[in-house]
Parts: sequence; structure tokens; C-alpha cells
Amino acid sequence: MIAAMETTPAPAPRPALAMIDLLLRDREAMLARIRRGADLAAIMRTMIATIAVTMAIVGAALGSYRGGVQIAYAAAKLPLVLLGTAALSAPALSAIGAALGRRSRLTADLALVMAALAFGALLLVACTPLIMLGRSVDLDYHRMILAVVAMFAVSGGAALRMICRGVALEAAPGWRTAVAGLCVVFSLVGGQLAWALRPYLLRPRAPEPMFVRDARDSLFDSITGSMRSARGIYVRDAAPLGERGP
Amino acid sequence: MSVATQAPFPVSRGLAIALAAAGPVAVGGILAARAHDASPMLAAPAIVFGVVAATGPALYIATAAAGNAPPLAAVIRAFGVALGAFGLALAGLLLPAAFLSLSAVSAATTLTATTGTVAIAGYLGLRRLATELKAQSPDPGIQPSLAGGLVFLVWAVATAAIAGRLWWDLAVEVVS
Amino acid sequence: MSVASLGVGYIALGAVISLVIAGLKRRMSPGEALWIVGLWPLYAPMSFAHAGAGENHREAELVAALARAKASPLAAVLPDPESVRLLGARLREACARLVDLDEVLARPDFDPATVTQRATELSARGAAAAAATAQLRVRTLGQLHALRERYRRELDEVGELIAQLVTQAELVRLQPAIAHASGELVRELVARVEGLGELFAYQAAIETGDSAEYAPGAGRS
Repeated sequence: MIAAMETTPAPAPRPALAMIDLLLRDREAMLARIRRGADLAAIMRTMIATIAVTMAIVGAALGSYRGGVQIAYAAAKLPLVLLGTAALSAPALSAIGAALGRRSRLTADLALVMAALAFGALLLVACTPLIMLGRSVDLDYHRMILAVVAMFAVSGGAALRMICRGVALEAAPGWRTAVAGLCVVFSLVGGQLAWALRPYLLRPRAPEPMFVRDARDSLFDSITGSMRSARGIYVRDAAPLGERGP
Repeated sequence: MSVATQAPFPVSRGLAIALAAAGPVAVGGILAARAHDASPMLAAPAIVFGVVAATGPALYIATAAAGNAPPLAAVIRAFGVALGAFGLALAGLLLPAAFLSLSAVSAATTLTATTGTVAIAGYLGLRRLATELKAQSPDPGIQPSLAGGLVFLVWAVATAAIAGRLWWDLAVEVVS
Repeated sequence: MSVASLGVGYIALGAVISLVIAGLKRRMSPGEALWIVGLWPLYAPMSFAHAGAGENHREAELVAALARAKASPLAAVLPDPESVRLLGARLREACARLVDLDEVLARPDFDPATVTQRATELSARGAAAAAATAQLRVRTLGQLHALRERYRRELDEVGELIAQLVTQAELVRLQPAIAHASGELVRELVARVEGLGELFAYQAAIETGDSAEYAPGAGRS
């Protein structure tokens, strides 16, 4: 036993870049670290910083479609969207799981969610050359939107898979419901926050870029309004004139 | 290991029950902020605890008559755990609900967000109650009886409908 | 309410929470305060996990487990309330020391690989005395890392024994006849928690530069 104490000591917690590298190369090891509860605060700080930087890069890439000051606007807004959504939604995973008998620590769950989102954000950064390619070949606005949605869907799916993997390892009761609840809450909050801080990808012929649009309605107000309009129920005489299409 | 041999929550049971009391107050506070009327903050917890107090004994009587009831103390404990589960779920859903409600322009979104929050927390509480009662039942290893399951289902639907109706009437009156 | 005004409210709430945590911890760096103000739903639980004065989940688990066992036929083999209080304090101390070790060993200047490289560089430059000091630091860091792993293992074992005690208490409630045989479990748990004192002594020895090696009590590996 004493000889064992003298052997090579366990490595110290890695610096931030090494932690990000671990996240990319060996997510099982990252999940094991989070489950062990080692250095959760350091993991949290690193993942938050990763999300901030990567989403700024993705935002800049999206803003480059319009160019000019829109690059800075989108680079500033996208990190706010993802971090804000995470801050409001992540506790739901622990809360719903705890309600159903899942015994976990809130700190470990928060670190898991942030690590998964950081992984998704890193995948999005890997997609920025495709965004730049779309810009360089003058891909039309709507196709560009669809392509961006597809990229976000792939990255989001990868992040969700990591969360499911991390939570499923415990085989605790109610974990599926907890993850499903997190997805629902995340989608609703993220949708609303993204809607409130739009636009990101502004078509080149749009008028002067603005940081955020005037808040006439929320996402859900807009959806319910559209549903009413589809049923022939209108609340105004005519829709405001939109900008010219591309 | 059955649920009964573990502490029911990762937090103390007292804290969970306190959340069950504070959670509805907070959800009522979201409505109050929207409508500039503080009455939902008192009415919401009154609805939660009032409905549970009013319908809880009926569940015990019905399951006992169906021959599937745990001891009375175990049933009371199960209700306590279920209320704690309700409070914990509300605690985690409060921030998203507050954001969605307060950032919305129309009252319908506020109604939907707060009602959805209370409904989801209520569903989780009922689900936890079913789990606890099953774990505490006289023969947990044996398949629960159809009668016992039916009794619980009918009771759960009735309780949810009563509480839901009271909540909806309150919310619509305050927000509209 | 606009997103901007909600944002202002969010930041204000974060500031209040930051003050509360600062009051609980009695010391907080400006950086940590900023983290809490900006991302309090995510970061405040991390700070609370460290700030819980006198409380941690292991101690709470031990106290709760003994309380449950007291209501079962196992009560006869349980330690008295004063002993339970002392055991809880020891467990709390061990958990706090593990947290402190994690924080200290997270610092870049406490990385054995970095210090080893430094020793090699000093040696290559001919600074023999400085290199020897650096090597001594490497050895000390190795002991601290080993100590941290030891704390983790001991606390994990205590956690498993606590969980087993809870299970045993329920089994004994159904089969009171086996209560006597469960005494060994309680004795093992008490011995493990009391044995944490040896880790405290070993840590003190490391911190004073004593090169004595860790030697736990008889019967424990």
C-alpha cells in the first residue's frame, strides 16, 4: 500500500485548452470526471468561456452574410442567446429528475449540460467554413437559412446525445423524463430568446442593420397570430409592408 | 433497493416541502406581475394545499376499500414526498416560466406558460405519488391490482381536473 | 416587459445572490462575484456547494442514516449522540479538506509535470540547489495528490457504508433477528470515520515537511 502511495501521482486538473481537447477527443472521460465531481467549478468556467468564444465566432460568420456592423452584432448576440438559454433551462434537468426520484447533484448536472452545449458549440464552429462557403457562392437567403438550421440541428443533436449518455450512466429513475423536460424547456426558452434578439443572418439587401428588431411580439404571440390568421381571424386591416425579397 | 430505503430527494425533505409552499406563491407572483394584482400569490398555494387536503382522504378510503392500501402513515408520507416532488419540479421550471411570461406581449402566452408549469409540476407530483404508494403497498413485489390502479387513476384525474379548473379560473380572471 | 428590462432584473438578482453568497463564504474574489452576477442560475449552485458552512452531503447522509437506524432494532448497536456529533464533525472536516485539496491542486503552479520540467531546466542550467528544491516540491506534490486520492477513496467507502446502513436498517425492521449481526456494519462505519483522523495527521506531516509515510491503523489497507 505504501509503495502504491509513492507511484506516479494522479495528474493535476488540466488547463482549459486541455479540457476542451478532452471534450472533443474523449467525451466518456469528460463524463466520468463530471460524475466524479472533480473540479466542477473549473469545468463550468471553461465550458462557459468556450461557449462564449465559439458562439461569437459562429455569430460573426452568420453576420458576414450581410457584412459590416452585422458581424459584430451577431457575434455579440449569439453567445447571449445560448448562455442565457442555458442559464434559464439547465436547472430543469435536476429539478424534474429529483421530483421523480433521481438522486443527482445539481452542480454535476449543470456541468454536464454546459459541457454538452460547449461540445455542440464547438461542432458549430467546425461548420463555419460552410457558412463562409455559402456566402462566397452567394447562396440565396432562404437556402442559407435552411443550411444554418441544419447545422444547428446536427450540433444540437450531438449535445443532446452527450446529455443522454451522461444521465443514462446513472440508470436512475425518471432520467428519460428529465431529459425530455430539459429539451422542451430549452426549446421554448431558446426559441423565445433567439426571437427576441433577432436578426442574425440578415439578407444583403435589407435596410440598415439594427442590433435587435423592435419587439412587437414574442415568438409565441407570433405563432398564435399566424394560427389565427390561418383561420381567417385578423386583428389589423393589413400587414405592414415588408422589405423587398432578395 | 426500493425507493423506500433511500431519502426521497437529494435535498432535505423540509426544503422540498418548503418549495412546494413557495413554488405556487412564485408562480402566482408571475401572474401578479403581469396583472398588477397580488391575489394569485395567496390563491395559488391555497389551491394546491386545499385540493390535496380535500381529496387526499378519498384516495386512502378508496384504495383501502379496494384492498390495496398501504398503512395510513405510509400514505401520509407518500403525500409528503409527492408534495416535495411538486415543489422541486416547480423550482426548476420557475425561471423559464417567468422569462416566457414576462417577455411575452399577449396575456395568452403568460397564461400558457404559467399553466403549463403548474401542470407539468402537478403531473410529476402525481407520478411520484403513484411510485411511492406502489413502493409502500403491502406486497410491492406482486403486480398491483387492476382495481387499485383504476382507483388511483380516477382519483388523479379528478384531483387534477379540480385543481386545474380552480387555477384556470383564477388565472383567466386575473390576467384578462 | 422587454428583454432588456428582464436582463436588468436578472443582473440585479444576480447581484443580490452574489452578496448573499459572499456573506456565507465571508470571502469571495471579484472574479467569482462577476461569474455569479452574470450567470447565477449556473454558477451560484457551484458557490453554494463550497459555501455551505458546516454542512455537506456526506455529513447529512451520515446523520440521516443514523437517525433512520435509530428508529429500527439497530438502535441498540448505534453510537451515542455525542459520538455521532463527533463523527459528523470529522466527516465534515474530511470533506472540507478534500475540497481545499482540489482547489489547491488545480492551480497551474501545483502541476507536478510543470514543476518536474522546471527542475530539469534548473539542473541543465547548473543550478543544483534550486533543482534539488524543485525536486523536493515534486515529491511533496506527489504526496498531496496521493493524499487527495486517499481522501476520495475513504469518503467513497464511507458513503457506501452509509448507504448499506440505511438498507440494513430497513431489512432489520422486517427481520429483527438479524439486528445483532448488523453491529459489525456499524462498527466498520464508525472505524472508517474515526480513521479519517489518521489522514489529518498525515496531511499535517506533509505540510510541515515531515517525510513520514502514511501508515493507517491495523486491519485497514
